Amino acid sequence: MTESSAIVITRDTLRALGIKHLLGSLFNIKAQVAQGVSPLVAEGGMEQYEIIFVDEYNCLSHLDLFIPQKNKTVILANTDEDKYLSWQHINCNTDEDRIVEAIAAILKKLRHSNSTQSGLSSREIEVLKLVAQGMTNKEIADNLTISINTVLSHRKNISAKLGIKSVSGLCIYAMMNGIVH
Amino acid sequence: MTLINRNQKLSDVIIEDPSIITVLNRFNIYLGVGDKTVEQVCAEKQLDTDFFLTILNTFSNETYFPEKLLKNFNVKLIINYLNSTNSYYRQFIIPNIENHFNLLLKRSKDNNTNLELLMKFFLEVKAELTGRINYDTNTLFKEILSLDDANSSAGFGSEGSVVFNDNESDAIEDKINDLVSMFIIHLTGKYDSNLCLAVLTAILGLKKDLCQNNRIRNRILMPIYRYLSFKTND
Repeated sequence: MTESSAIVITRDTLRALGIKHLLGSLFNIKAQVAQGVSPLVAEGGMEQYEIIFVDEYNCLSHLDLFIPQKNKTVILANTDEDKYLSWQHINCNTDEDRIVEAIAAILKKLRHSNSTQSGLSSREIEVLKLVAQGMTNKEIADNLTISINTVLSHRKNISAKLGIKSVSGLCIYAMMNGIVH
Repeated sequence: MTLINRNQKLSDVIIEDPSIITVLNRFNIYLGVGDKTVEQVCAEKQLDTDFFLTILNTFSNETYFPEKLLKNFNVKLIINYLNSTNSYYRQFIIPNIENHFNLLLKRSKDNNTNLELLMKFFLEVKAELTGRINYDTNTLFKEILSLDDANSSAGFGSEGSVVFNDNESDAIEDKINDLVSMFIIHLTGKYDSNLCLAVLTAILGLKKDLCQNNRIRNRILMPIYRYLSFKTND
């Protein structure tokens, strides 16, 4: 099974480690932990993560960064109160079962909206289309305004999901599925 | 799986792993082997028993690869074997896949476009594999054999001009793996399932064979070639 990736951004290290442990042991999601968003931006943005957990402070401090990622951002809340409007959130001050249920529900929703029949996300399909058109990683990065590392990460995921490594193989797959003509 | 040994009956070896028949053919051994042991068959066919056993075991066991032992065999033996493997690909495996593929396309209802794309991909793999076989036969093996001769007579001073490209072999293997994935995971539309199975089985046979062949070509012949080039220039 392909391993997904997540990031947990909070100044509360113990909370971050707890979420990281749950994601790894129950959902096969490898999570990184960060206290703030600065290093993330330097490393090429949040595109590469399937899901982002962030505390209220960091989210509010960098709303400009999180709004474009809203559909995969989950606020680590301290209450069940619905004060986050349309933002997804989980109450961290509750028992383990409820936290796990909440994460499972969010992942289910996220994966359902992102997936095609092949399991590729919409972003991965965009990358595949450009690969099949013969673009280099650098050209794809420039075209989609993402870093080369993110392109490489998408390509790795595409190959793992499809079982196809070679560029010409990916090109044939893209033609078979009407992604390119 | 236990290693094949010289006292075993060849018929038992075949029953245990029938895919080995294709390797036996490369040593001019065909079905109807009787009840002779491996050693008796080798004596009859004038084969080096140790080399024969090493090749069979390397083919049969994916985890078995005695590098030191293989490097000690005469380079002519190794090249003869690789040459017969290449001939087998060119004369049997590739035409077999292509013939079945053509039949599959012909019998598939509604002109299955996915199969046509897969055929296009197969033809690309075929061109690359054939190109490599031609290169091996016409350039690489000849140069290694001439270096080997020069070493025994001494005085051969030119630098080895053949450049091994390991990635090239891996690229062909990758493409064959991709082709297998396309059949197993992504095939859609209507098609003749018996013919499709025949094509897939033949491709899987090539995949296994090429993987074993590349191990010998790249991990045994390449170091021997480097060694011979170095020794000749020394």
